Amino acid sequence: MEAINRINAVAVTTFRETIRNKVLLHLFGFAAAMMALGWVVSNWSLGEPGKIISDIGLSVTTLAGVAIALFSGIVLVWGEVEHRTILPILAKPLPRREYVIGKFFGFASAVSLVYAGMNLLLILLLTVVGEGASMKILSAVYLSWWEVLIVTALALLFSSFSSPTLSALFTIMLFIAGRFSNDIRLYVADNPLAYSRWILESVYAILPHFGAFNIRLEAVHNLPISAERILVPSLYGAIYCIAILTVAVLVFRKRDLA
Amino acid sequence: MSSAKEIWLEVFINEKLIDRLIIGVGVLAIAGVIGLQGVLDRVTLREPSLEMLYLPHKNVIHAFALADDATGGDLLWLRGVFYIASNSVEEKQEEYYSDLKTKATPANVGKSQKSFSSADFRADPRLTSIFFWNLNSQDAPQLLGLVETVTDLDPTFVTPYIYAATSLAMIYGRYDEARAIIDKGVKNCPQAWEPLYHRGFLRLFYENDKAGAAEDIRKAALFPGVPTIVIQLAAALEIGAGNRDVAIDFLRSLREVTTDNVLKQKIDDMLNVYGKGLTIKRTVKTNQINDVLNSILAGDSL
Repeated sequence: MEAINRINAVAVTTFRETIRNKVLLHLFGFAAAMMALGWVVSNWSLGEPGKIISDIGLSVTTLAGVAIALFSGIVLVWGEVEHRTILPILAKPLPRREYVIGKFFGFASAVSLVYAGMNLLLILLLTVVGEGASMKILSAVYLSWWEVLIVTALALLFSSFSSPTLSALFTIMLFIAGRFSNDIRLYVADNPLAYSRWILESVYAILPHFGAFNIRLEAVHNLPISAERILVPSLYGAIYCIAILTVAVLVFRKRDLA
Repeated sequence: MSSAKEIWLEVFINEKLIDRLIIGVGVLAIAGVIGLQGVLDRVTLREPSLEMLYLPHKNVIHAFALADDATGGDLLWLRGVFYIASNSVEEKQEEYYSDLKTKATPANVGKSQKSFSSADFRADPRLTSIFFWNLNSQDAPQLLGLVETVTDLDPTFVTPYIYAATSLAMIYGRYDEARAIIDKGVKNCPQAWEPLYHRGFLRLFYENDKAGAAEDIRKAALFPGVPTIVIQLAAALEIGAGNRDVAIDFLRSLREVTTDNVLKQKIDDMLNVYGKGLTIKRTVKTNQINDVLNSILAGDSL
């Protein structure tokens, strides 16, 4: 119980710090502008304007959520280490693992709040144009949230041992590679060489499968989406976040902060 | 003691002056950018067809869209719209409706196309908008490639299939390409009635395949929320193809499932007409589309 209180204290502080960051506001504004642009260009599509608004809106909110997680997350631990503000915190009876977990929950809450705000804006826009937000659109938003959470965890992991530049580079590379995980799977299936197939299979297994969180096409076209299609990726996302946090805790536990 | 040069520098080259100079240069630069805009646009303007010569491959779009293919497809489609049409010209529809005889036929390929003169068609833009391109290009050699790429990226995006198929057939006279793209649409969009309806339309006009057209439009008519005219077309075509019993069965089954009272009444009227073995032309005089259909079914040239 005490551990939970300590984690909560770190999380609340991190949430407040993150929410004050102007980057969030700028990216929120950018996402709103892009959605408005999507609304304008949807009139030029000659048909299915709702599809264009939904496609662009869902892509923009996901990418803006990822960008917020990336640009705020890479300095999350590094900033405190660099400015030595972490030393008085860790001097208290606060295990490092609880510090990392608290940081994640606080940061993830702030990112999720902004992500929810952006999607609320999208739903309002869809309602204004007479499309409304179906359960399928909400499901697509929900699954994309897991994508944002994984990037949040990755940024925190790299921030716990690396500089912001390198953290950004690593996170962006993993994000891009994860987005193309389905392509890697196809290359694996087509590759005739056993050793390279083994390497590709290993890479595929480790990479976050961001493609699994993308049901935007089904949602926009009102195609059937099974409960399994939502539950399994959610479970995968949760386990992947736990795995990244575990590595972050292990790395940060051994880190020399002096 | 300061030299004359130092005094001169102090008086004329001070911080305030430098600030003013920087602001002045900035203002001039902004004015220059704005002033050059018109010239830049003129110098760098490319023909839309030239722009489309460098149509990116679907894999390139896949990469740049970070595997978000549907959004990549949307953006390519929006670009394509400007390639083949500057805008859809709904405001000109009244003018187009005025002439029945110049509607889409193979003989009219390359000419401005007209639609049926029918209030039923006019009521639903999903049925008519495809006929109203404000063309800015005499030919569209890249249209098929463009729509192939868009629909590879988002196979369930209905609009490109129907616009491309009708434009390729009716405006550019490339029926084989039109048929290929609309077949792809029917295969990839089982959730939509529009590809079936437009394929039926193309089969009727370009292949004179009344039975095939009747089959497609009958399938389209079974979708919920389909415009009433599609149901009427389906029944009329079944009769034209010699399937009067099929048409009557089809209308009866539709009447059973519909909850729309207006539609029920229309179906009752149609069943009354067909049940008596009458032709549509003699009984439903107010519906101009049926006049057109009867002309088609009777083999009249349009």
